[in-house]
Amino acid sequence: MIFSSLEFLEFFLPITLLVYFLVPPAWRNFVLFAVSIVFYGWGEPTLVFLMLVTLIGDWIFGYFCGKYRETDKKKAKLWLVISCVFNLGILGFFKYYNFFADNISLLFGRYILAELDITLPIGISFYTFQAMSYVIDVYRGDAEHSKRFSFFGTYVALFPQLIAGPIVRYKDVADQLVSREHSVSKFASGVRRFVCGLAKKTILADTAGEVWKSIIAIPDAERGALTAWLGIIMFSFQIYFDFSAYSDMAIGLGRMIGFEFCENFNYPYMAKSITDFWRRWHMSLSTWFRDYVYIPLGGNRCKPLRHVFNIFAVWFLTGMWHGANWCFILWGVYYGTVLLLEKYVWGKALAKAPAALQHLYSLILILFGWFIFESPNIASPAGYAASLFNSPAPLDGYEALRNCVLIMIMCIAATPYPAALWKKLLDRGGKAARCLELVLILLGIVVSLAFITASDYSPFLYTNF
Amino acid sequence: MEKEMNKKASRKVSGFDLAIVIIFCAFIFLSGILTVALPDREFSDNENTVLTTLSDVFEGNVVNKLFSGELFDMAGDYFRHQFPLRDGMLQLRALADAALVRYETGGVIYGAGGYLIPREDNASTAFVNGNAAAINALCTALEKDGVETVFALVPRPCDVLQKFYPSAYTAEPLEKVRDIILETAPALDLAPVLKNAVDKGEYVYYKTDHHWTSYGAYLAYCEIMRELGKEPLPLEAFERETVSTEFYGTSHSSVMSPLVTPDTVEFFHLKNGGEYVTEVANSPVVFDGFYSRAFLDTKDKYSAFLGGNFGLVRVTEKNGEGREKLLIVKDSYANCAVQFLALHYDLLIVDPRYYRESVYKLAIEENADKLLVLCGTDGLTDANTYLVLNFGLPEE
Repeated sequence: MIFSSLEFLEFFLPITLLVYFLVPPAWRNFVLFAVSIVFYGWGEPTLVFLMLVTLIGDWIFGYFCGKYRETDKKKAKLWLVISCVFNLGILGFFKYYNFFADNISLLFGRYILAELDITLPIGISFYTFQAMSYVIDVYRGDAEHSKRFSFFGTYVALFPQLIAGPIVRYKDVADQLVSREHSVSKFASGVRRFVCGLAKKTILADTAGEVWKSIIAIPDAERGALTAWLGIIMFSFQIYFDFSAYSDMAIGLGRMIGFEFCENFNYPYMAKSITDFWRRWHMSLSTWFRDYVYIPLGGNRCKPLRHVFNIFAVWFLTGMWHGANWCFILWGVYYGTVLLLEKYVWGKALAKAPAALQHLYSLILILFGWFIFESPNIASPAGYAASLFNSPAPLDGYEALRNCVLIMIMCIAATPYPAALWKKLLDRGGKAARCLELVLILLGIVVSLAFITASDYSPFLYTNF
Repeated sequence: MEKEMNKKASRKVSGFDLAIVIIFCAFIFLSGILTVALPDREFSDNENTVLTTLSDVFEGNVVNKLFSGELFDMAGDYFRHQFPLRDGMLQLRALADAALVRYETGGVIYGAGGYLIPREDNASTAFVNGNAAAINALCTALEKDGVETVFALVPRPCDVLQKFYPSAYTAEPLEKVRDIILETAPALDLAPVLKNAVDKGEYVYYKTDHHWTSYGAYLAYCEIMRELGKEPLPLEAFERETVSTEFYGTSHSSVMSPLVTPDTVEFFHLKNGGEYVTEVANSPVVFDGFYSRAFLDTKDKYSAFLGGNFGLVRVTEKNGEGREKLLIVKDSYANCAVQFLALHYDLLIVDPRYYRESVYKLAIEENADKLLVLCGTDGLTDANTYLVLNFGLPEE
């Protein structure tokens, strides 16, 4: 189920909220766990069992890691290794087996491993990483083993962040699972955030996505340069608003039921360098790789050559995490390379450059990155790339003109200024500003619903990873 | 002490926060309850589509549907289709497009003068050749048998309404499809005369529908008659009856914008004309004249012409002696031209979308004197209309 669907908004959410607030507080985690299973099973009625297997496995591994970590380091480590093999084994099989089999066949020029008919379970990369974080945190002593299965199950399967993050680390929410505050003001702040995300997804991201889809459908030879550039810009906006809207909605829903999740985005298109971009984009994934891969490998406190290896290892994995496809790996390695170049070659010069130049540099590299990232969905990436330098086509002007208001809105919405301005207005405007807020929230819900009702099914991009 | 006070202040519920919570909850609870409680609509007249109802969702083998995921897809459709304010929501979406200056909604351009023009600049050309070749083969085969044939090609709204395009919309590919057809099958191209009339400010195509008006069909009729070597009746010979000023057509169904102004539908009656009867083959549908007026009270007013589309329809003079027989192979554009053509010929009207037998055989068996293929360019390009036309020609 996705948040921007009427079955979620009119059916799942009201029932969930009703049951959640009616049952005694002690039962609430169990309720969340149960509804989250329904949430996942909606559309994935068989693969929900796979998630349950992961949950049960990791809960048991966590138990043994916790049990032995003080007394028998070796045994604890053994259980940690078993857990990693278990998790990565499941992830590897369901997400990467066919990719692996294809490449082996390609390498040896004949069939060695047969291709299997595997459906990629939605959000598997997200929930597997969360479950792994639990076992690792328990092993490291950063968190205690969860005595109740339903608490642990709630942590991993919690529907707001189940299928597209943010990837919450166990140590960050362990306390909230035991006790968390519910209040009207927290619920209201959740509604604000949720409606904001809903509007971003339905009005901005989906519209940008529609334009992108129509532009890749134009034959390469007939696509004018302006239209081709417009397409890539639209995709860049789509992926940002789509994914950050999901995080907004997840954080908002979390607050309604008392949770406080980590932020996942910090205006990434405002980045002044690629290093900066990755501190602002999908922060929960970057932190996960930093804490559980990069730093254990030695991070940057080692010889430069080792550091280069660490960076490439992390970025190879980051790329691969997004999907079983060489394009994603190339995309990851591309960013690894740029990050190293910034660190060892032009980072200092860049820092001294005028701000406008820094932004331009970052945006161009990001745009190029998205082109690599999206190329599996383009019939002929080379043909599309060539069309970026085509001569003007008759409809270039029309396409640009009919999207210019949208682009302006998206440009503004991708900066922190509207939020800052709004905060100022609320601080100074008193009751009038508060009333305006109410109207805007109502308008946000209604207009978003209009876009949902009028559109066909439109899932979030990031649930596929 | 200060801490204590802060705690108290934070515990005090702000009225605005409470209002936000109430508005949000009321909205999701009410819309959910209303969706389920209100009676389901099975069909949307405005959008001209079938809607999914709750009983559709649970129809058939529910367990199979559950595990195949179909149940969830249908439930999603159900919530979208039965949303209490669905029509209002669609209108709001169109307004948002207008507010964002997007020039179009659902692939339909908002032209000047209230014209809604479906975009065709990315129309596929995959099926055009096959369809044009099939039409050409039918004409050639029947000409060998002594039947006089005319293939008249009806332009799409976008082919004639250039005058109303937004200034930035400078599409050229419009000619593309038409050129392919004309190369494969020699045709009477109706576009120049219709476009000329549009440019002179005449009401030739509906603003909210992809069809031509009765006047547009009259212009086409004049061209066709001349091609058949006969003099068409002058415009003054007709009495024009305005039968509706509230027609919202197919293009409106795609946009659903409240800013659209409705069209006017006219019937053309020959002054002191004879009486005619329309009969649908293999069905009890028979009516006097060329019109099925009951459709004027529905959304689908264009179906008043000939009562919509049927596989095979005969139009003859009441108590007539039998005149020259004209076989018309057509799509819905022709329905509106029947009111003119039937004044000269006994008509045998075939719609290949619904007529599954050999059209060639029909022409021979019925001793048709003339053949008119009258269909729209859009139908020949669209994969869903005919796939590829097959007229059941004899094998050579």
